[in-house]
Amino acid sequence: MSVQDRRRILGPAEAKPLRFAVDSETSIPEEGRTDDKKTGKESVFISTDLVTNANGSSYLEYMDGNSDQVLVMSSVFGPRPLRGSFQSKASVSIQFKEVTLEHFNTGEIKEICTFLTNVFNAVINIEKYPKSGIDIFIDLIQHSNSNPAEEENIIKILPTCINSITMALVDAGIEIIDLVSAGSVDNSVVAFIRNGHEIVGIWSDDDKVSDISRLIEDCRVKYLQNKQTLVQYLR
Amino acid sequence: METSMRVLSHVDGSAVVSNNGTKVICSVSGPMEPKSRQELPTQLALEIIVKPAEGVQSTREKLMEDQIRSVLTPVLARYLHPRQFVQICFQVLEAGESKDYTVKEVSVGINAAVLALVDAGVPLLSMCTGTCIGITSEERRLIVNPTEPELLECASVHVFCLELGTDENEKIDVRNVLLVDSLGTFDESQLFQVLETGEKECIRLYTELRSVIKDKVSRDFVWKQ
Amino acid sequence: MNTNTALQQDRHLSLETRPCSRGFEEFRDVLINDGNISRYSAKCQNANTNNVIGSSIVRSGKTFVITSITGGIVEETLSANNEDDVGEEELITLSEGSNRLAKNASVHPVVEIQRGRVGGPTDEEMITSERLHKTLLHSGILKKTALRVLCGVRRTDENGKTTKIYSDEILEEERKISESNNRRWSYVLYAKIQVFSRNGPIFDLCWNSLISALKSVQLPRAFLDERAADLKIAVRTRGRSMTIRETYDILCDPEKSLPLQLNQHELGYGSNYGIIDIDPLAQLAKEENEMDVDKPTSVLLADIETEAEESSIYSKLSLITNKDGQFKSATIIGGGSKITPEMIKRCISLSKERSKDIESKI
Repeated sequence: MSVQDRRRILGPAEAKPLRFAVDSETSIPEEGRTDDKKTGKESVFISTDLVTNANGSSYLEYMDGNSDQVLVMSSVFGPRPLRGSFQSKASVSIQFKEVTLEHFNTGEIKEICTFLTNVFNAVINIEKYPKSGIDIFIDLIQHSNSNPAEEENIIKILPTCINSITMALVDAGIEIIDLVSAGSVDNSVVAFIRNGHEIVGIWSDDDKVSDISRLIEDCRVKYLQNKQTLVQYLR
Repeated sequence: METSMRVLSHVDGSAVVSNNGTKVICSVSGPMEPKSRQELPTQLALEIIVKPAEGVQSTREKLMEDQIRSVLTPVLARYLHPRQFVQICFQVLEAGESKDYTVKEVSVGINAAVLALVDAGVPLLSMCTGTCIGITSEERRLIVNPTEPELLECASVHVFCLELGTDENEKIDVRNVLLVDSLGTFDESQLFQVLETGEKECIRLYTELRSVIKDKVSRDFVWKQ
Repeated sequence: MNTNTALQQDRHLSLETRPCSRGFEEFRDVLINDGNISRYSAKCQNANTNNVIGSSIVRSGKTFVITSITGGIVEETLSANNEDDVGEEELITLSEGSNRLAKNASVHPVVEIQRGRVGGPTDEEMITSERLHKTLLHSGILKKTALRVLCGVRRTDENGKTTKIYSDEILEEERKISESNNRRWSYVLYAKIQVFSRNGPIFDLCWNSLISALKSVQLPRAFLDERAADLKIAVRTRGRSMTIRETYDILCDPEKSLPLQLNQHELGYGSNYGIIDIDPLAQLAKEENEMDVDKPTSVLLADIETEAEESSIYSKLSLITNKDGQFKSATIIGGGSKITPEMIKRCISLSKERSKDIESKI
């Protein structure tokens, strides 16, 4: 940035962020962790009363079999009046933000937002809300990942993000066609509605998927699990 | 404290106040038509802008603006000008303190604002005056209106503003504490010492400002006799 | 604030309850933990990719504040005559002896309040950040010496095996290595403070969150590669000026770290208060004979919450103190009801109790 940001206290310009050395010998000892690895089952914690000044919100803690965590909070603001010209449908905007760590670059964040916006444009009953804006904010509080390979990260958080937004929309009382949820397999995420009969989004980081129908089938199994969890909470 | 009023010709009111190495010029424009987002349905809206002696605005000036706003808002008769707007702009000419302090600029700025508001003819409910006080770390001595080197020796620094008026019997009437902003290390008794000393100094400044205004009014209305 | 809410508020208060259903001098419950966010947290799962070195989550009522502290390293500019190292420390103390702030350090906070809008920081965010920065600087809680990097050297022997040596851990003869490079580095701390479900003034919450996050900070040990420690390469020459790029970067030890030294006796915690007049006309008369009380009575409310309170209370106090009454900051704004010395005294005693309570929870 050429112009210094004067609205934030940024500290000395010449300071360099801390860089941790990576050398094989001193990597984090695995022994302590392997104990609770694999033994733990997948678990989800859901809460929908965390953010009080939003129209609806949800907080999801997802723990996978490797005891990796994804903590996501979503808040829905709206439907609220939209300024400017008349629009017959609601305009959905999704903002993704990392609360603590900053792992994703702006390009990746934009991609995530576009993907999620596409998914939820298909699911929210936007015809019901003319002249309105529905703004959804996703705050990724934490995601721990023992494998620091870059591409895997988005895949790991996406299903939880989708589940979390769904819950927040339900909490806000915004009309949706069906509970949307997603499942991930390998390097792909597929979002479904209507018991897996309809696909609303596919994200794949794998450029050589050999058997697409197989992939979708695998994701559908996980989708049904996830959806079951959401339904259980809502009961 | 040296003061002069009506120093700028393109605004409705202006004043320069300098005190112990700090010099601030204040201009007041209004009451005038606000932008729609500033407009308040029942009261006069205020915009306060502080420009530093060096460089451009930063968060430091935002905090000063906020402090000045909290002092000026209650003394203005805001209900008299609903849907109107006053812009009060401060340009620090000499800071008289390092970037880590704002006490001197804020207190001098408040005194300048009162004079500029009177000059502009914006109705006030009372007067307010501001001063700054430092407490030295070694002797725990109170310094009213410290100089820059004195400021560096202080364990705590305080801005103190009082709402003042004169009642029917020509008696000075302390109406409220408008602002105390204290930073550093201090205890309860020191805080009350600051309140006590600050009150005396603010009353002194009040009489000084009143005589300045009196002179100005008598000069402005010289044709009236 | 419309008249309706104001009236409602007055009615509430005359019945000795508040819109948030707390008592006048009752605080919200506070929960504080480190949120398992930092790489040094006990249950941290992602230590190898995490660069957060201190954290806290403070929950007060429905509002919660997440603070994460990250770090940087900056090279200090040393004046040329400091090279002979003799009495350097004394020189600094001499020249800065009278300047209290020169020894103090602060963090660089960025406060973000979730409000369902995108865009640049709001005034409140800027003001809160600035106040946190300034209060910490003036408080003396964090000293510059606590942020100094005690730089080590990493040696790689013929077999490619690496060892790291830190000057305060090594034997006398090896100490020369680290002293041979007369440069000095300091840590810089950044605090990202996020406020969710804002429901009242946030400065004291942010302060408490920042302090508890700072208490959890571990500064990673840093080192240079021995081979590179004295190397500089010119990368660009233009006319007579030349850009020299350093070929090494200071790196951090992924394992070893030292706790950040805070001046424990300087620590203080924040609380806020409001003073409001109850309009006698709005009072619901309990008994007939009370009707003749025509003077407005003012009440002190601790821990302002809800929009109704925030928008109708113009006299506010915000205090940072420890349990013994040593203050770090006091802000009194008297825009509304008259603030009497008795009120201030009452606030002070309440804030001491509150500080004690918060301290016990961190």
